[in-house]
Amino acid sequence: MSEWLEVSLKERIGRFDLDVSFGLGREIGVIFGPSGAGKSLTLRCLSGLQKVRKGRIVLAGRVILDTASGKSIHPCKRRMGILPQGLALFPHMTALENVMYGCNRTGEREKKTCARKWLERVRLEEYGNHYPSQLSGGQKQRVALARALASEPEMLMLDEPFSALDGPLRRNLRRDLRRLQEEAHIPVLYVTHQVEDICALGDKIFFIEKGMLTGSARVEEMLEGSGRVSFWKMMGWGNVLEGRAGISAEGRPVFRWDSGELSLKELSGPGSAVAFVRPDHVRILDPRIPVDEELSKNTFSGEVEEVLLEGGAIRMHVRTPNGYWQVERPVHGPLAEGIRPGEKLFFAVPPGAIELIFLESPEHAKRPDSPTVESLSPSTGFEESLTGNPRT
Amino acid sequence: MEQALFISLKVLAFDIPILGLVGGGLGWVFARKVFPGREVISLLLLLPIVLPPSVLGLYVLMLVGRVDLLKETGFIFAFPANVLGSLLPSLPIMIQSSRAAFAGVDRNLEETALTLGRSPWNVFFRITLPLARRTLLAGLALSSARALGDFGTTLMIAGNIPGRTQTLPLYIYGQVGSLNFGRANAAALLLVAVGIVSLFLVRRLEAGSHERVA
Repeated sequence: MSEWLEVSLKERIGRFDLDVSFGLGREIGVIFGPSGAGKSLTLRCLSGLQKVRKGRIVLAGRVILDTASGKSIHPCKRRMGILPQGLALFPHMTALENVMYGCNRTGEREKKTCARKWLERVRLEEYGNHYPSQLSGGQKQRVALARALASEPEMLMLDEPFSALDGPLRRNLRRDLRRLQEEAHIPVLYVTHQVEDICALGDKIFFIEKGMLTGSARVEEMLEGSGRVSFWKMMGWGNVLEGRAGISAEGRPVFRWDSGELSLKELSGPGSAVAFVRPDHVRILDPRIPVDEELSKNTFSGEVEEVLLEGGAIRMHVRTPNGYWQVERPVHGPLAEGIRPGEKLFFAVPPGAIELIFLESPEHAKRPDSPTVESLSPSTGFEESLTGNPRT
Repeated sequence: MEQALFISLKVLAFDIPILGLVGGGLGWVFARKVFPGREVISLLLLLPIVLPPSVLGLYVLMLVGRVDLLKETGFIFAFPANVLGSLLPSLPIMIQSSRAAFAGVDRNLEETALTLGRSPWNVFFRITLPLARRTLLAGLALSSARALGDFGTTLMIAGNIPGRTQTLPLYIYGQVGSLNFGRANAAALLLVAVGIVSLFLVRRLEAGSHERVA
């Protein structure tokens, strides 16, 4: 079945090559990738603001672009709304006038009525006479969203619109966006480099890197079962360790990889597995304060190599003898402020924060009647035994 | 003096729309369009600012002398020469100002307006022009003041014929030559007042915001 939006684009700008092809239904698609990957360029090509060397775009059965036949509809007739990074609210117009400008109606009265209705839908009816400079960050976002939807586009594109906002505000706006998308029933393409946006908003994810689409999947597929491993790897976010789970010589459930060991809370069965630890679940420690027994087995220390500000969080890349770790903390969280590259960082991985994905069925599941101590694996060097509930 | 003032105002009545349309238009082209030789052409158009007015006037005279069509129109030493003489040194000021004005308008705003379904003309008149308006008006005030005060180029190509081509600056020159300092001072004061008002307007326009005051 053909999608509501079908895209195939090839463009070269200087030495940068963009080559993306994808389809999207009337749902929210998230384009995820690092800075400079070509996310914003993709949106510009789609909206017609950037000319494309080779490509084809079909939206709702309408051919928007077809370089083979020389067809290219002007941006003003594509009916593809865009919310750029800076929102582009017109500073010389009030919120109401901004939305009126977007309204696809004839006559000032009709436009005003339409704009008022949209401001009500984004809960800003009382701010119609305010200029953009008099609105808060979240209010500006909602005005821009209302303006874009008031033009009755056949699809909406958002270029990291909430990147400058902090946690609760982002959550509210994501809820608004989700609600408005369901009401308008149009495809929405949302560009982000923040993982929480994917989980909270996306129906479908497109991974983009160096101008190429490296993968795509539906969110529900990626958040279940072994699909999660490829999801984590493609995102480049989080700590992904490949190794074996089993029982240590002291009888503790552990996960061991080639350069370290993590104590687990429980273990469903031994076997090759991938362990995933969310960076925001890694706990930063103060070396002067003793840690509890549970954490003590999973403490690490290393040198901070990079500190990135990602929305409302600080992400640190820490080099330890056990490999690189990503550690994330809220911008204003304790122990996070003032951490700079080159500083030493102590942190712990709570056993409950380790998610295990077995690359094959746990070994006990294959032999449910033989809960015996297995031989030592030469590669891992620890005893694997069967404990706890079998993984089903 | 009334005659000279009338001629000066008549010159301005022609200059201001030409400065707005031609200077504004060229400024927009230089700010928004990329084409081979853009900077060379832009520099050539700026030359009248740095050239001595007598040199500028001489070149215009030579050009008219060599082009039969221009010679036959008889515009030298007539009112059209007043308009041209005052325009030549003031147009580059307007071009520079409007180039800065249009370059200062965020392209994102124009592009977003297009994606909202508005035509390029609509975007120009509803978004670009209102946002560039202040700098454009400041440029128009400065270039108009420069046109009103032009002396050298006008003298070279329009002459100093009382009642026909004599503008206020030429009138002052004539009165000083006749040692009528009182009249010269009165005309000079008028030009100083125009200059002060222009600068005041420019300062206010530059300091203001795009938002309308309720």
